[in-house]
Amino acid sequence: MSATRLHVALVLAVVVAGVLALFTGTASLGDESLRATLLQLRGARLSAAFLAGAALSVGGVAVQGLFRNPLASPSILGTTAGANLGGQIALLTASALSGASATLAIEMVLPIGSLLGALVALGILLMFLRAGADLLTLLLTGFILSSLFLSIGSFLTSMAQDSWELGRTMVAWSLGSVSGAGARHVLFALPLIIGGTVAIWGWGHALDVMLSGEEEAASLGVDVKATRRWVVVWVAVLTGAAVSLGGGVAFVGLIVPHALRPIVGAEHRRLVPSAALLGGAFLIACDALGRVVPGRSEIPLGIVTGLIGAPLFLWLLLRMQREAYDG
Amino acid sequence: MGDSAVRTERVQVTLGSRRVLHDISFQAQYGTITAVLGPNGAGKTTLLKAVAGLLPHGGRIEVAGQDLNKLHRSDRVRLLAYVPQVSLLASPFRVEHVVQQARYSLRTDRHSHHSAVEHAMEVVDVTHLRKRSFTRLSGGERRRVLLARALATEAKLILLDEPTASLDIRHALSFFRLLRELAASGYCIVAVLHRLDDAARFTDRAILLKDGLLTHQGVTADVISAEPIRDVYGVEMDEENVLSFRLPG
Repeated sequence: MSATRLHVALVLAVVVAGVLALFTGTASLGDESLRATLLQLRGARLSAAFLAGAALSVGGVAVQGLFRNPLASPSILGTTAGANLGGQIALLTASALSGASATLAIEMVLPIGSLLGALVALGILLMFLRAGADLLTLLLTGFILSSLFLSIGSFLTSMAQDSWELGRTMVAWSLGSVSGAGARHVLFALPLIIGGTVAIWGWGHALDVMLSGEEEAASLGVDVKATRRWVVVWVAVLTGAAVSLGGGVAFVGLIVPHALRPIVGAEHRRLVPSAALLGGAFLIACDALGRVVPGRSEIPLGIVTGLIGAPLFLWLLLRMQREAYDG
Repeated sequence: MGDSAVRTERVQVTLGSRRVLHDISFQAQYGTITAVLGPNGAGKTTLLKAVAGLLPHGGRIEVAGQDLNKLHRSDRVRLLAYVPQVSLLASPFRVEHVVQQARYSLRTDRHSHHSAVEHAMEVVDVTHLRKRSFTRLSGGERRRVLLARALATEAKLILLDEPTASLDIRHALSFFRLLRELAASGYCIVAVLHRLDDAARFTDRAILLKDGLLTHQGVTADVISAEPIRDVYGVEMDEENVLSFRLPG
């Protein structure tokens, strides 16, 4: 399939998913008194889902290229866990400062907290890179950071259970959701995600060459250290921005690049725009799906992506293995 | 024999706390093939990587008369190309995209890029594979594609680490014939080789390493002779047949 045809198909997928998402929910758009408010709320929500999906997918393309490992997800660097922890700390802080329901005070504290959390994780990673860490050390550092941040986050969540409302908010945050995202959240994350996506596209040729291994890449004139450093920086920005919109959303960054490679190939500059569009469409669809399950008002987005993503990923793995055997 | 493509002066390489190369001095000219020989662990690959600018080194390495340490990355790519023994490339890139990677750091116009890539694929005879996925090529085809990528840099010094390892005899012979043609057209080829018979047949000069020291160098026929081979490999050379070796005693 040509790149243009694929992009047209993916834009159509985004539009179709977006239209479905606008019409999905317990309240009906047929009610004229609610229509404007619903469109506004759902518009912001689907924009948030699109941006978070795009950011995580582009982040996935970047880390899979950097680590030469198709099983890598953007969370591998620990910046996602850092952003999650940042959000949790922001929720606690907002609750303590307001002395009332945390949900009233968090509109912008939460995204800023998430981004700061991702940046703290990034700072630690950069410290290791400056000390000459290779890819393996970077990978292990990311793993340790993730474990550490998750442990602290779990501790904070358990502490928050003393307050029913705060405990509920913390759990909802860790499960991932774009239900609370408004226009201001979208505007906050938009420049970060556009900047991150363009930057990763810009590093695309270097990432292509890096797939031959860092030594070969260096022999072909790639500044390996700079590529490593800047890709890590932009993945941190993308994941921080994505978490600020949707909390912990699993699998998107892992499966979207996987699903696209057999269609668009392995070249990063082809993968990045396609991944942004497919990731966006996928997350909009998952968010809409979470709203149509009978008997509940909504299933958290992170659970929907996990339920769909895990079997889909297994199927992609099997297909990959079959193709490898076919030669 | 032409000008020096590479000249090393008392080159030392230390990896961690271990000195791997000690005061290696040699030179290789354009229009020739130089074999880097020695037993396992002698430092052959380390020497090649040092000359490629991939390892920090003491002493001095000159490429085309210029100090390697003072060359910018893109200038280095213009002067030398390195092909490792095993490429880690396992992505389904089209062959032409792999060859185009040679031009990553070179800032020239689109036409120059295109003609360099086309010429390299033609010389190495992989043009017909251009749309194929690299991962679906045979070992011999992959070797040729990686050599095409090296040639597409338009560097005239080509460093090859065991270029025919894992190739069957037909592909190996065809690869060596290609290297001879490149040398005849002015390239300097420096290749780490394991098989002494290949070195004897296809190279002009040889350097022999043992435990990180350069023990012998010169015309290949002189280096691959009874005494140096006994000194370095600890085997006796059968004077009747250069392909035949036996353990002492």
